[in-house]
Amino acid sequence: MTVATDTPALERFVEYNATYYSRAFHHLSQHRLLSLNLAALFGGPLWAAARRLWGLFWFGLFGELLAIILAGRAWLLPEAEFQSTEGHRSTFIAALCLFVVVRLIEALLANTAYLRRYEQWRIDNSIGAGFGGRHLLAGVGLLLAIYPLTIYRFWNAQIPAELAAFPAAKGFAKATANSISALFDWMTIKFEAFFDAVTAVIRLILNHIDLIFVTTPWPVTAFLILLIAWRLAGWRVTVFTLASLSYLGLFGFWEKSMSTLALVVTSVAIVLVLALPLGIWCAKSRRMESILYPVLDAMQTLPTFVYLIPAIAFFSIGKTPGVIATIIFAMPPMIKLTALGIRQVPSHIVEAAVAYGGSPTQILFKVELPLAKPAIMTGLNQTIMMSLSMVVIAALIGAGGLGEDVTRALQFLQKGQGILAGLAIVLCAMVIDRVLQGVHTRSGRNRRDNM
Amino acid sequence: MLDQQLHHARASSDLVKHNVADTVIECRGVWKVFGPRPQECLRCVQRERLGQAEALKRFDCVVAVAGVDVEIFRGEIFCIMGLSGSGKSTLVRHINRLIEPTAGRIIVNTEDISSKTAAEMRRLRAKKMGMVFQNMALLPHRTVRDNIAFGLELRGIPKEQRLSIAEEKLCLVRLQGFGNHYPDQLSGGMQQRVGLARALAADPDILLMDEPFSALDPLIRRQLQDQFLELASRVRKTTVFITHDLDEAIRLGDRIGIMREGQVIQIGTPSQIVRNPKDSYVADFVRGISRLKLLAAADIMEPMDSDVSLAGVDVQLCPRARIDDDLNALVDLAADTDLPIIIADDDRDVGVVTKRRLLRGIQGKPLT
Repeated sequence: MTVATDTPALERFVEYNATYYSRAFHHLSQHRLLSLNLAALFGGPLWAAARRLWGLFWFGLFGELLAIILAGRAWLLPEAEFQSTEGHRSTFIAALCLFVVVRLIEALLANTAYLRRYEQWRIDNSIGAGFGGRHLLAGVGLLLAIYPLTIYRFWNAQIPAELAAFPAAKGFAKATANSISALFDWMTIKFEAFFDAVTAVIRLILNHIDLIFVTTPWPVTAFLILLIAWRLAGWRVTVFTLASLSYLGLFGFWEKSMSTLALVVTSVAIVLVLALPLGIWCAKSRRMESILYPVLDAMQTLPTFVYLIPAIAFFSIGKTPGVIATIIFAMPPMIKLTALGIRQVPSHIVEAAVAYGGSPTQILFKVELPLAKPAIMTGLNQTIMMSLSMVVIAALIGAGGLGEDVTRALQFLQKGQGILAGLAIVLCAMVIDRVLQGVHTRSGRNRRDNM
Repeated sequence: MLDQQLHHARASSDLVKHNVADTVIECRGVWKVFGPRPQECLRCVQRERLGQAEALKRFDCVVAVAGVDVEIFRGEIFCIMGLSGSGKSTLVRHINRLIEPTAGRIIVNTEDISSKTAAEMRRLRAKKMGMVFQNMALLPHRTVRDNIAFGLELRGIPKEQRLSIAEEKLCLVRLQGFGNHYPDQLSGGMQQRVGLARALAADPDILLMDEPFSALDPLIRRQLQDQFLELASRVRKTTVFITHDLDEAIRLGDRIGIMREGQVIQIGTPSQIVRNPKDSYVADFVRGISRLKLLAAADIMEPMDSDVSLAGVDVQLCPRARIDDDLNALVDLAADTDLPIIIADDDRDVGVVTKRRLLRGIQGKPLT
């Protein structure tokens, strides 16, 4: 005998109409897929609520609401919606059909859904059985809360303003925005020395790296890049790198790409210095994590232009705010992946290191960081990719490089030029990515070669 | 060969037993409570003698170790046997203070280790204690040789010296030539031998072995047990060996402590435990254990003075055995004759073992 026809339990579960459900469940378990439940056909969502089938309830509620709204609009507001009377009549009929179809689907799915719930209840008695009087009340409450206002809003052309739009506290928002602006102004003046110092340090680093990348004669730079690609990632990547470099050179992007590269290298270097300790700290301290993670999420999702503006206020325009914006944008994955990598180190390995007399510092450097290396490398890769994508935006505030060409092409609608410059950025990103991934897979392969 | 080792171990345990003064590790009234309010829970558990289940229900605390008193002597292999959740792994982690006790003291080489600073504790762990783990816990990014030398590296021993020690320990566990391999290139049994070599690298006084062979398949486990016994007879370390397998405890242990719900409910040599299980719980465990090598003739014989069973038997034709021969030897004798076996102690006949007695003795059931 199947579960479906265990009568005493079924009676307890369905409470009313046990004979009907006993037969319906029996039929369903004999591989019949669907059966029509008349109670559900007439009761609609309310039947579903009373039987505690909330998925079906929401499906019915929104499906029927949609049909009612469409029908009402076609009937009451024909001139607002349609050019011709035929249009509105056919829409009205279609909407009525929609309502019927939704109901039919509900009634057809009702027994299947109810049987599934019954089977769940047989496994876990705590989910509640019987006719849900309070559930029915809740269903009615939800209908009353959602239907009247929604239907009123859609059926009427003219409605009170309070209902049409959320009553915004416009004055308050404006005051807040103004005070934030004032705060930025005040900080700009008050911490001028600090911002100047940061600018000076970043510019110092950037200028030297820029000098190295841009001033070194191109044959030397190209040769070194190819050499690195070959040593770290093998000849396939070297061929790809050669092709990419040729493109950059032939299409006149060489100097700009070197300058972009300098920007990326500077940003990534600063990110590494900041993010590694922060990531380690997050891995070790739950409190630090719970403070820092929302900030990191904000840094990642905040539209870039939002902090580009204060960056200009604090650091003026040029390469420095570009680097800072890039750092803000590219740092979160590095911190998160470092923390993740360290936390993923199996606790028994750390325990063993403690048992052999390891100090916290030794364990960090000899066990945790080496084992977190794959995650940290992924973080580095992401950071580099995100810096490169930030380059275009940073060009808007005068960071120069390849982004400059892209933004100029945008301004003057030079489609061809824009695509060429965009492709140059993509190639830079791909070369860096392939070389780094090569380091990854090759170190894995070398290890296996020892076998 | 194995029997010899077992006997050797047995004999040395008797030796150790006499020298009670030489206690290396002592646990006195050790309690460990995990949970949100351990002290409060502990007080209540001690006052009202709550069980583990009640403590969990009322305080959301796990009483992992509940008032353990154990002494472990120099050079012995002390097995702690218990099912999972009995607190044996928690207890052993108190000895090198990977876990701090909620109450009680742990004394190692006459020093209370809870009074030591973090740095002193690190020195103690690095020099005096080696630990082997159930899941090996080798460093996957280091070669076998570097894994073995890991503890020495943490202590700052120069590279050349520590690598030569590692090579020496590799030979000790018969893994010559595997120094340059990575752990994931070795089988489970080999990995655990690396774990053992790592534990021995610092030449520690104490070996803590937390179910080292439990994750291995039965054949490999047996091989490693043999190797370990052979190694132990050579290097003679004070060993605390955790296992959930009473067979393993009996094969390896000089003495066994049986744990249940955080308490050590019986301590004794394997034959003491098999002969006199303290309660029905221990008796249940012991039931399936082979008594052939654990019981002696003296345990099952009928004393001579009540010579009922010798009626109508020519005593001169009966086979003879010594009072300390084990049941295995008696079975050999009994297999060739239908006569009872006469048990002698220094040429004096002291008892008789009939076939019925022998069979019941092997079964571990009383004669009906």
